[in-house]
Amino acid sequence: MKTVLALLAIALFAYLGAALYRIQRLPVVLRALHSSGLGFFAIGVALGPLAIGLVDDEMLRGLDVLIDLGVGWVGLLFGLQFHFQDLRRLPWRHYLGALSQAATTLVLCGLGLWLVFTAVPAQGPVWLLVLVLAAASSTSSPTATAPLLHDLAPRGPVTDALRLIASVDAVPAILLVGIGLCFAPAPIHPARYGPALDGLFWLGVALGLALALGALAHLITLYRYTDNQLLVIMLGLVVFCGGAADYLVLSPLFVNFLVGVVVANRSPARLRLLKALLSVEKPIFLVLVTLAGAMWGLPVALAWIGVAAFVLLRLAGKLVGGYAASAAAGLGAAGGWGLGPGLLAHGGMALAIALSFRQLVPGELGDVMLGAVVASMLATTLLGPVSLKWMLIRLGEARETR
Amino acid sequence: MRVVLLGALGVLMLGLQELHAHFPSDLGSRTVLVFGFLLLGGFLLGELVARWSIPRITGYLLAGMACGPHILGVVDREVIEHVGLVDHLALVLIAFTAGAELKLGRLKARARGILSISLMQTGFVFCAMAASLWFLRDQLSFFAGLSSGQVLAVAGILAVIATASSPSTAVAVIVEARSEGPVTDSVLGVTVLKDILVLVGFSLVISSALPCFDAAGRAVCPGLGSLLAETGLSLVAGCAFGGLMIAYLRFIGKQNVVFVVAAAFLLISLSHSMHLDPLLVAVCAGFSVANFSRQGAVFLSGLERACGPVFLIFFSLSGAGLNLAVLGSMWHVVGVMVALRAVFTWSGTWLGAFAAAEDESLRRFAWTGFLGQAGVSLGLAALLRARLPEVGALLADLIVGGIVVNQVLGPVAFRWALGRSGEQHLPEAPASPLGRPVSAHR
Repeated sequence: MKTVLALLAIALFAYLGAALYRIQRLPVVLRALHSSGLGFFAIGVALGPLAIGLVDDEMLRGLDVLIDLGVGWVGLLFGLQFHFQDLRRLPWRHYLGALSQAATTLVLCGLGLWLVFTAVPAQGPVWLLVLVLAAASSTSSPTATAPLLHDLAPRGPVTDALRLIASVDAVPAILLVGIGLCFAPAPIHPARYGPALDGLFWLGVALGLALALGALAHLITLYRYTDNQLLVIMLGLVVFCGGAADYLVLSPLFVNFLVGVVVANRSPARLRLLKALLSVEKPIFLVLVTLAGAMWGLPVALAWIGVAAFVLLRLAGKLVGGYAASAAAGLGAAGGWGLGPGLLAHGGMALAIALSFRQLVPGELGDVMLGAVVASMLATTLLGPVSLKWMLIRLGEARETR
Repeated sequence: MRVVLLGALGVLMLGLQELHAHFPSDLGSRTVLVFGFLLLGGFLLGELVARWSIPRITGYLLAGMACGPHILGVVDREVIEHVGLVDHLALVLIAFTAGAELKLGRLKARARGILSISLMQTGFVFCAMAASLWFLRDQLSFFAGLSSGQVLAVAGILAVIATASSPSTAVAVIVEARSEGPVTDSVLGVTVLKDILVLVGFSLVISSALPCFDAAGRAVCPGLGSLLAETGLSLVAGCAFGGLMIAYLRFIGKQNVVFVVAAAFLLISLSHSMHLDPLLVAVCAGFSVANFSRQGAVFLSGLERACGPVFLIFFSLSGAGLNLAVLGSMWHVVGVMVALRAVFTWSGTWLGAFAAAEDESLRRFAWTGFLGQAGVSLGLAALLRARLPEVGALLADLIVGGIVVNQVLGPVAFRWALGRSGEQHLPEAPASPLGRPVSAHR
């Protein structure tokens, strides 16, 4: 019976998804919702212990590998795009804008969340939850706004700045979570030489691991392989790297990102590796989102305050951060509102951060984290394209008619 | 160079284990790490052996064996069980590929040969193996202390398991060699058909043998009727599942890779809840999609793209799960059994091909495709261990020992045979360091 219900649920979602896809002039918000993969999250919830229960907790434990694969995939893919020689050609002020925007959002969101979560009783390392949530809040999703940018075809300095900032503003988040976890005290990491030295030790381990795996990937790809073989290498590398990070309670996203950066700047097969990773990006992301839905447990009623606070604080943080970004990027006030309205969309990177946290801290805190990120994704997938369109038209970089 | 890389990977793994010494044990993260290690190590070893025209899956198996509990001990039983679902998913995807590779038109043309080889080979291997064991009973230590009836029963059980082959191994070699032709088609058709014959034969033999040992065992052994019903239902369910897959590919046709993985997962769940054979259901579903819809090519190309990682996962985990200690302790008996099985498989295949007036290449080379043994044989060995206390455990060890040897030699022999029969088409030249000439194929 459970299987039949599951089949019906999947068929319904698949049919709705395909039907939406076929409508030629689908509103951009619906297209963004469709491409965000949130429908697959709903399928996951429907199949998981919260609803039909076709996928139970035991099965999910057996699928750890796929979750680590998905999270690591996001990190490696992101890192592989950091080819310094290419990045140097872009205006440095835009990087400054990205950094100031991410830092402002992170600090504002972090402070607000700290106040909220110290008031809401929760079991587990709340400081870690706040740190990771704040980091996740600072990321933007270029994918969520891609359909709109495709339609509007905007041109101008603000559009250029937005594209770059949305693409790179996850770096501070990844570094903060990665380095923060290295300095996590016992019982997360065993005490050895004292808090500061332990932190430096684990940071050294993370960097060493990334360098070693990056070198290994570089040496393996010195051989000429077919695209399918490259895909297998990447698969093995991501899982091994994610597993090693998990094994030592480091951030798999951080280590995979660093491996990606090493490979991007050392391997002659960089572009082919990137192509191989991109060729299966969508399926892996959708499997990850489905598993996220299946593993999600409904947080207790009080925790929803934290979830709502996260969504609102992030929106506020992005608006303030966007203002700081436009100033830092040399764009003045960008029409009075800064770049914030163009950076609201939240997506896959935040989900990967949430999932890696949930792998480390399962249970209620992990569910709050995941719930907060998915709620924010949902809200900003609906709001993000609208605010971006409003901003670009207002600044004269796009026309209403297109 | 690859040897150095393998060594570096091993050193890295040892280093990680050393660093983890002060952490509490966590099966989840250990499993993911080991899984990644197997993927990279298996890939490197697969590429290494491919240079000598040995199938990559043999490299994957060897990597799994080396990492398994009996040599390096990187992979233990706990880890293998933890990724059981991923292993099953891989097996179902291989079964989809096996079904999709069976082309109705070509099967029709070869139906007589396939049927003849299946029946003749299964019958011949069974009879000849049982008779040989009967005549060798005084030389084989595991027959000591058994009555004549029990010797006959044990010989029958070992003989029926000797008839089993591994469709997944055959499919893996065929996909890697990109082979096409009469040997390929016949081996695929026969291995799938033999899977059904072996299950029916095992049910018959074990129900006849059980009274010789322990009457209580009878109640827990599946009867022939229920087995036939399960087989029939699996075939029907496979066709129905194939129909649903065709409908998806025809009317929706988006995210096909996600769909195939989800379909494999659902198929496992469905088969378990309805007591069906998941492999048979998957083979039938793959066959239906490939032969009764226009989406067969899309389906097969998607599966072929997934084949690399799927084979790597499945065969390296299979290798890690093999009990090498048994092989060490019973190597001489295992050697005799493997040699006898190979000779009888060759003879049975030759007779079947001869009776169906098949061509020379099929008579000479097809038998190599039936040497590999994996899933079904391992399952039957486990069933024996559970159903026949004492003797069952000994027999299961013996069978597993034989599987280890057959699974290493089988793919090598089959790959060689595909090359000799001229059915191998290798578009993927072996990788070589940048800058050097790659191979004559480029």
